[in-house]
This record gives sequence, structure tokens and C-alpha cells, in this order.
Amino acid sequence: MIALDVNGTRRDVDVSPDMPLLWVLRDTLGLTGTKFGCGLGQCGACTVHLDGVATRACMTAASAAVGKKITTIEGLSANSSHPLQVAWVAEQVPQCGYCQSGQIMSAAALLAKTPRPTDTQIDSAMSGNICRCGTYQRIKRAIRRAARA
Amino acid sequence: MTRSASLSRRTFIKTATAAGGGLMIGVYLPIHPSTSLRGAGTFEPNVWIKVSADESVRIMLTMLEMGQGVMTSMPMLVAEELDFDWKKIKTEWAGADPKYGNPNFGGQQLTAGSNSVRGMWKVLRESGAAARSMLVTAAAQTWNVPESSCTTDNGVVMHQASGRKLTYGALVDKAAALPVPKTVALKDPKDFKVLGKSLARLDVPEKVNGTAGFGIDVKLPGLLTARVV
Repeated sequence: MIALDVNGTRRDVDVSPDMPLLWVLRDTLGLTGTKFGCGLGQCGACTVHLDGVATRACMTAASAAVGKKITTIEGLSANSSHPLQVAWVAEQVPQCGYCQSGQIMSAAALLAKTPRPTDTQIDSAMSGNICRCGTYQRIKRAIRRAARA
Repeated sequence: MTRSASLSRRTFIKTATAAGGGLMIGVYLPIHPSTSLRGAGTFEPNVWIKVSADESVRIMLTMLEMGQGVMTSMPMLVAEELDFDWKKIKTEWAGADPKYGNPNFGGQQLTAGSNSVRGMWKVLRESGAAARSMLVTAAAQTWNVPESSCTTDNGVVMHQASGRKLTYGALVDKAAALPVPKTVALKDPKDFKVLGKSLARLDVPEKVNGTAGFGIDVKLPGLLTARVV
């Protein structure tokens, strides 16, 4: 049994310690907002926060998350009220939407550390999140909008 | 579905791969049973639209949402001809059934080739227009006035001369008893209120908080996962 702190709640899960955190979140805990994309840490769809740091859940063993605060898209805000979520709606960012949980979590980690990022800082922080629909321009506008809010 | 329990993962992959020429696109499982066309308190003039006594309108989506925005564009097509608030139209995924075919694909249910709006353009507009026409007839009969003296706006039928109004929801039982018109007049594009406008997508809010449902999120009893490695 492993004890995890997920979105502010202690969750005891009976999983193998080396099980990727992504599958603990999705399959064991039913938090399906975090997506599987590549399983190799190459696409960013599975991005969550570990103690506020953007982390690829597909490459993170459940045991590595013990003792850390795990935040998923479901725990980012209570009512989609995080400035990034508001900005994402205002800028109409998503198309298919599959990568957007990961995009938002990467952007949230950036803004938490760097509230007024430069375009270069945005590019750098977001470079690991791929969007097959190609919504990059709107993602960037939404991050700028949230930073101004 | 009921036979899937006896189908091994290996057999499934072999069969599906052979059938798809090596390309596995997906398996569609019917989730919703077909509904009665005349349920109490509802009005379903065709397979696409259901108007309910609680003033709700639900339409069926035969295309999957793949980023092209069918959860918004399809309601807009219906709303334009039905004269109903496009934002309030609920959508439901159609099961695998020939009655939900896309005419642009010879009646097949496919989501491909920019055919969502092009394929459903006439079908959904006519469905909305037929529903509206029957609701107007129901109101005109209720008031004993000519249909031509009635107008519609935002889910309400009005008789301008007398100032009388009836909501769509109040008319569903009467409309459901009427024959479905064989032909309906569609709006002149110059009268469009929602079509042609760039409107906020209805599926964006659920795509920023993790609640949007994707194929990978579907859970069914006894579901196994198969993949080509």
C-alpha cells in the first residue's frame, strides 16, 4: 500500500511501487483528465505537478511521488477558476482538447514560478508539450492573458 | 458486446487488423438504446431532435468530436431553423445505426474529410425546420388561427395580432400527434442569425478542466485493453 497526496487528499493505493503515476491516477483513482500520449515523456499530455513542478506522470514511478504534493488538472481549481483556465476559454484554445490538460499544467507551473514570463520563457517552459491540432499560438496568447490577469 | 467475453485479445487484434487492412481505427460501441419517438412529454419529429416539456432540446451527433467542433456546429444548424437558443441545445452521441448515416458518405457513419457540416448541413437544418413547423401548427391549432399568422423566436411561438405566446415545451404533446411534413422551407441565408458567425465553442469549458470524455476514458464492464506492439 502506498500513500499519495493527490489534490490535497491522502489516497492509499494498492499498487506496485514502480507503476507509473499516470496509471495510478487514471486507472486506480479514476482521474482521467491527465492523458496518456506517448508513454516516453516526449509529448507532455500526462503533465502533473509534484510539489508544484511540472512532471511527466508516465515516466514517474508511484513510489517517487510519495511524500510529495501531486496536483492534477482536476485539482488545479475548484470551478475552472484558475486564471489559465479562464484565459484558455477566453482565447478558445482547445480544438480536440486531448493535450490541453498537460498544456495547462505546464503553464501553471511556469506562472507559479514566473508570474510575468517573457515570450522566451513561455517557449522554453512549453516546448515539451505537443499539440497535434497546432493550437500553439492561442496557447501563448492565453498564457500572456493569464499573466496579465 | 455480449460476445466480447469469449473473444481473446489476440484473436481480436488478428481479426481487426485483417479487416482494417492493417490499420486499426477503432471500434464503435452503441451506448444509448434507440428511444421511443413519442415518449410522454417529449416530441421527436425525426431521429435527430427531441424537444421536451421542460423546454430542453437534445440533438444526436453522428460525427465524433475530433477538434472540428461538432458539439457547437451541429447545434447551430438545428438552432437556426428551429429558432432556439443554440447554446442551450444538448448533444448526445449517436450509437452505430444506419438511421444516423451521413449522406455525404452514402449513409455511413464516418468522421472524416471535412464532412461534418457539409454532410449534415441540409439534414439538420431540415430537421430543425420540420420541428419548428410542427410546433407552429400545434400553436395555431390551439389558438384557432392561421399558421401564417404565427412567428417563432428563441423557443416560443407567438401570435402577434393577439399577443399570445406558447413555449415549445408547452406544445410538445400536441406537436407529437401531428404528421411530419414531407417538405419544409429553409431560411434564406440572409436571414441567418447564428450560421456564419464565429461563436464560442460549447466544448471548450470541459476541455480546460479534465472532464471532457475521450475514447481512452471509456470504461465498460469487463473491458480489456488490446494494442499492437
